[in-house]
Amino acid sequence: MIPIETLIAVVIFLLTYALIIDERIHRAVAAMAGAAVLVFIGIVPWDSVLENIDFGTIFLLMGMMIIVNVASNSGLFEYLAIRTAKAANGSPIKVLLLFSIVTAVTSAFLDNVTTVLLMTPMLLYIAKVMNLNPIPFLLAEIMSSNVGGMATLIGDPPNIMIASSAGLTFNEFIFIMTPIAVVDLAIVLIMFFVMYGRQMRVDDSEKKIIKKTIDALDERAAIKDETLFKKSIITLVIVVALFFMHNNIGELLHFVLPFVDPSMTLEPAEVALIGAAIILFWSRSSPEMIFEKIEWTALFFFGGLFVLVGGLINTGVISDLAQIVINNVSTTGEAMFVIAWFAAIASAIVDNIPLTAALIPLIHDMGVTSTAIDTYPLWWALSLGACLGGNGTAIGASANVVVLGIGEREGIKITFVDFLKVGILAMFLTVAVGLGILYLMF
Amino acid sequence: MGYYSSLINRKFKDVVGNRYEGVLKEYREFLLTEEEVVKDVKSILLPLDIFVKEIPEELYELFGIYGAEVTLVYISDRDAIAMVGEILGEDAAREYAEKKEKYGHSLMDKISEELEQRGISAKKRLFSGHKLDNIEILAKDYDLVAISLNYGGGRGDDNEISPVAQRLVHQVNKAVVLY
Repeated sequence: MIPIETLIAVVIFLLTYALIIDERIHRAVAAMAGAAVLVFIGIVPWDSVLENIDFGTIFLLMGMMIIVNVASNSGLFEYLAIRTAKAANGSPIKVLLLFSIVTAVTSAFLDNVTTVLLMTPMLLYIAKVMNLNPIPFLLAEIMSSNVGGMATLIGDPPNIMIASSAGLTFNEFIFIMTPIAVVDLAIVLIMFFVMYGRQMRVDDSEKKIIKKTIDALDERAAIKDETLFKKSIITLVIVVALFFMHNNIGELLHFVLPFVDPSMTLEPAEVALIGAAIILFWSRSSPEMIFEKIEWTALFFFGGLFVLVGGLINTGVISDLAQIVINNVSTTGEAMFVIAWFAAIASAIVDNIPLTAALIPLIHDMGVTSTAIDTYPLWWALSLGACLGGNGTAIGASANVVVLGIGEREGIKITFVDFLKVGILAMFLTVAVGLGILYLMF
Repeated sequence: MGYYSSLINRKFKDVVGNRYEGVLKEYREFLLTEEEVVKDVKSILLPLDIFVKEIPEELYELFGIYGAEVTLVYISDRDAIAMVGEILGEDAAREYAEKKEKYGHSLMDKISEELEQRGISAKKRLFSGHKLDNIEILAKDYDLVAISLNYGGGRGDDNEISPVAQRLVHQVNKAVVLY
């Protein structure tokens, strides 16, 4: 007999996730409403609400949002988009390759939504200039953003959540996930080349006209504030450098400042907040304006999700699920397989953020319950599945929704099935190859 | 709108809010407009008269992008010449027409020099006629027509665009750049 509290927690959880998928009610409102019911009923006691919320994730997201908002005010992204377009020299296939690579690299260090939001209008413009079907370019941008986001700790919200909960460092992501992301990006680009390469041929005279039109764009005109532009780049470099050093910053500082404790470390969230403080202080940007632009709905969405998952933990649902997984897998390799593929397929349906929120405690529980399974590789399997699963369907990740939404507004229809045909293939190929690399690593 | 489209739009709105409008506005400031990206422009008609004082640098740049041949056409207003003749006599009308021609040649020489300096080939035509009708007819042979807001005159403080330019924009059945 299932206890009534457990049943209520599961029903509220599923109902909330259904609302998140459907989004008739804002996802933040749905998550908060679900969390509020759990608190009201007492499944998540008020005293423990804050314990359930992963503030490492929330503050890391907040810090990065501030940095990105200030940087985008300088015109940095538009500048990058024009430079990328010019570098393609009027060749459509080079446009696809370069935009995919730039989107992947940018998504690895900044948030995917901002990256695609600022890159897509430029990509559509170039497709119009080239008089080519923009759909392959848009799809490649989505896939590249999701693959690139997988590469680093700060690239995608699932990675931020995983790192914060499992205590993984930026450099661990660089050593483990970045090589996988590079290989997977190459796979995605080859896939697009095979599928759409023929459609992207233009003759030399057309290429000349395209190049002339794009060369007429002035990237300097995109820079709204030259000083802020330079400060933004310097701050971003400092922040990325600090992320590289966050786990051994004490050792490095101890060389020059002997009084610094060599064991001192910085949490990724601290790095993001330090970066936010630097750019706000240095740029003299109006804090009211910047704080207004923080995506509070996203932060409250995360908060609500953490409480919802807390309800499942408190009622024992997560430990029961962990036990089921443990009973059905006997090795770490099998567990990696299950986690990666389940995360990938479920992420394609649910959106990878709520899915990751639910799977993180499950892996923790598996580590506590089973001695045969090493949970360390499972975190990477989860990152792989959650980030790449987003490519599976049109609603799998936020970047997909943003690009498809812009497409809708500009009269470019990419149907669910159109997306699925490309997305599922990309998802299966990249997850399979990524999992293979993880097997080689562990 | 089907369920899928409305779902994407709902999710887009929730994820992006109103940031997209801001992004679009910023891009519009430095991306070429729809008219400006018209491709396969091989010939451009540039009507000139006494009211067109100079060509903005951006227009030269646009001509340069297309690499098309630009035809400068200066039309002296035949009605104005006739009116001078009726009031002041034929000699005065001839003198008036010659002055107009001289100015037209000097203006076209100046602009064609500017164009050639930028590697854009230019042709010149000068005649007396009716600006609105003649440009409308001539435009048929060109891919793009660049019309000054002042063309044909009569642009006062209240008028953003001269009546002749306004009518040409509506009547010319070709891509038009208004500067």
